[in-house]
Amino acid sequence: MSAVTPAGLSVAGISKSFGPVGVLHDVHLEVAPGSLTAVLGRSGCGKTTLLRIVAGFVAPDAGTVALDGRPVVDLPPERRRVGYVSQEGSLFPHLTVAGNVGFGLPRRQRRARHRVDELLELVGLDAGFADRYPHQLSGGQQQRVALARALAPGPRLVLLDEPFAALDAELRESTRRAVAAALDHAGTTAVLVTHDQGEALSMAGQVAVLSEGRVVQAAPPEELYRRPADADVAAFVGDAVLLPATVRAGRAESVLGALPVAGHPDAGPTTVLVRPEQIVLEPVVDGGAPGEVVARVVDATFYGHDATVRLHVRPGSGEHPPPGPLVARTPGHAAPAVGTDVRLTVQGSVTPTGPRPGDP
Amino acid sequence: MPASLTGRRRAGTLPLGLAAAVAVAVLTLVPLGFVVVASASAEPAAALALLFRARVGELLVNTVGLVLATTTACAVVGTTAAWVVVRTTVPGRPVWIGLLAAPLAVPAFVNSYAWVSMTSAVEGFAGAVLVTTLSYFPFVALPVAATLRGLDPVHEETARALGLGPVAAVRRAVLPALRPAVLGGSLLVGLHLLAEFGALQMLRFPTFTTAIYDAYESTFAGPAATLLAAVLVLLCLVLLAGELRLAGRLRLARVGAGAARPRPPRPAGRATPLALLGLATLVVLALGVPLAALGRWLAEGSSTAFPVAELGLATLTSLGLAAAGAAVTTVLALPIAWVAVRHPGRIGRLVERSSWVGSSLPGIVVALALVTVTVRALPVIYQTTALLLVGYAILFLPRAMVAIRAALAQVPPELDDVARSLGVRPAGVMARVTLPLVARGVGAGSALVFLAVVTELTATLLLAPIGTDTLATEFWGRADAVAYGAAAPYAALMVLISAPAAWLLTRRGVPGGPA
Repeated sequence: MSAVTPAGLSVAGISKSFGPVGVLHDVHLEVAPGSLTAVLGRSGCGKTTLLRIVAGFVAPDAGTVALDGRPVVDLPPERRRVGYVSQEGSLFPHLTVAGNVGFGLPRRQRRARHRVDELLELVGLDAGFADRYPHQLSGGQQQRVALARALAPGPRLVLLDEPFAALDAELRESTRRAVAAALDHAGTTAVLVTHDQGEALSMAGQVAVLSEGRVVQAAPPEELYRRPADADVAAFVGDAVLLPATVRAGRAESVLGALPVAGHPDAGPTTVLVRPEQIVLEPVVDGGAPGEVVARVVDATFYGHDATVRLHVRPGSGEHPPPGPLVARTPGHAAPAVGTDVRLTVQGSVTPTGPRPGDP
Repeated sequence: MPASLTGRRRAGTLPLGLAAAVAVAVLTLVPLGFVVVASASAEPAAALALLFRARVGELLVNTVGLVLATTTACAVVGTTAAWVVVRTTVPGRPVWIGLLAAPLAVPAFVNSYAWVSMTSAVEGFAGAVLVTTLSYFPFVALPVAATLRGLDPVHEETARALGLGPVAAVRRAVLPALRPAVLGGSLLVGLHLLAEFGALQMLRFPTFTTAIYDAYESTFAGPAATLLAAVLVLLCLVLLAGELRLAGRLRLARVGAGAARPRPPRPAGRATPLALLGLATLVVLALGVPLAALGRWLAEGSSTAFPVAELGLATLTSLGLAAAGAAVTTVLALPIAWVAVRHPGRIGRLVERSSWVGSSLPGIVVALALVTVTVRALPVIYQTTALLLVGYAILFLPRAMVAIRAALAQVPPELDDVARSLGVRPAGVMARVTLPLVARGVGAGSALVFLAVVTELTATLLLAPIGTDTLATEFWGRADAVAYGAAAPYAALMVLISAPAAWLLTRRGVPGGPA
């Protein structure tokens, strides 16, 4: 697999409409050779269309797609050397696993089995699967075969269109790991389209958030989670507590007290992002000391490994009391009882997400 | 996948496939175009004189009367029989369902031969209604039975829960759901009646179709035949308009039919003997009479002479023509099915729709058009097997197209995308992915065409080159000359070859109507 040098992908100014419906608007995206980028967006945001334009199945209305700097927009899909894995795997039902994997290989290599076995091994499947038909495989196995098939002709880029969405939770995790390992081993550049934040954040080196046909932010997962471009992105990539605050001397004054702020924000009113797991709950001793932020637990949802707790901050503590309850996440074993009072502290820094939007 | 994502293929595959589909669609429109052009260019005074005479009035009364009476009878008989077999506990239900389809194995002209060879009392209107009803009621019974089987009982139960009695619940919740099947089947019966030649000729009941044949026999493709064909086409268009209006609702009626809970049949109780008697009478009349007549004439005919050589030759000719017709029709149906499934835009719909037009016209009109057009414009292929095959293709295209379309609809377009992303060019995708996956549909479609060709009479009579004798034309020549015994072996062979078609139809629904 190492014979192929992975290509860098650069998408510039792509726009596409289907009839009167604009799907993509001036989309830009850079993917480094050999890296995995996730395109994250809600259903209907245009992410599949973007992928199909890169693959060559759809022609864009405007813009360019380039592999290693060479434009490919005018090439038909079969001449782009771009692999494609669809949501259901789309294995050819009339061919065995070997027939599927070897589909894109020259006739001679199709005959020689070792290449097929090699690819099956790469995706973590036993060579014994080679003679099975797609309907005899589980969903996860089908996706692995689909990836092996896409990798077989040595593509310079592999596109994965929600490849795990059709799998149940348990299978999804193991298939994800197998696919990530195979992509890593093959060293191919890959673009993964998904609506699953966890999937994007855990698998990709870069996550591009696509919203209403525009790339609103493209960044490494940690940066995206910690420092989202705006409140929408913040809320999309994870649970978010958005608090009105005023920045003074590098600290954000909010209902949770004066919190350290990431970066160098301008002074003045703003909204800060706090992730629920940053809020630590502790039992209150003697009704709480002055300066402490105390809240009452109004609701708790237990998930096992953790719990989501909704809190009403006691009036009088901090600035800008929010209109509704706050949400915090605690380990499941430490979930407080409803009706009790807890002391709140915030771990780490908070992120300003721009001036106060309409609703925090 | 939304239509917007499938109707967007890059340039490459589309123009070639679409061009082929349009070419086929144009070919199927030749008969209609001929009738329109020929009637428009007829000399007005002569045309009026030919059209407005007592003979045409009589044909109109006969044709319309027969269509009205027989479609009504088929609707009533077919629906009742299907209801009894599917919805009650009458004994032997699986056998009865098969028997309801079995009359389709007996071509209508063989059925009427059987009746008329037993008694001349079936000549005339009443006999024509009787014989055609017995031949065509399965066109209603089969779709109604299929709908009844697929019907979700929840509607009837809801109606009962809302306070309706059992009869009112059926009338208001079940019958409306059956309407598309009953109307669709009846329209199909109507179209077949307009096209029916052999059965009615044998019963000496003149309609437009038989009159066109007689006019063709006496004056070749003269203005008389053409103008009568124009009137016949108008009658067809009236029925087709009804069918088009129905097509949308038909689809609605099938939504969700797949997941329906089976409904326990209603106990027939004391009505059991009556139901059994009714079903038995129907089967005896529709199947027993023709088979008995065939048996009798076979026994009597074979005592005199059994022309093995001629029989063998006609059988081989029929089978050969049927195989060639099936192959040609299937090849022509492929691009239409492709466009219908993969490019469902306005052009795709238009192409698909127009492919039905030729097959909805009576065989006599298609044959007349092909004869006239080739004699005038392409005399090289007049009186050739090629022209006969073209006629078969125009008449039976939808049978192949529907089967291929159904198979193609099962093939996700993503497979094409994946194949191309693996470096395979469009032609390779067609050969290595699409064709292998639709092979079964292609097989089923060509089998239906094959069996239709074996029993085709009217177009074969006009288009077959001199010296090409099929089972149907050999049978016709003898039966028409009242040589009933000599005709019997040919009829028996046709029934034997058609039997698999009837079996196919019980499983795949009725061909000929837009599905």
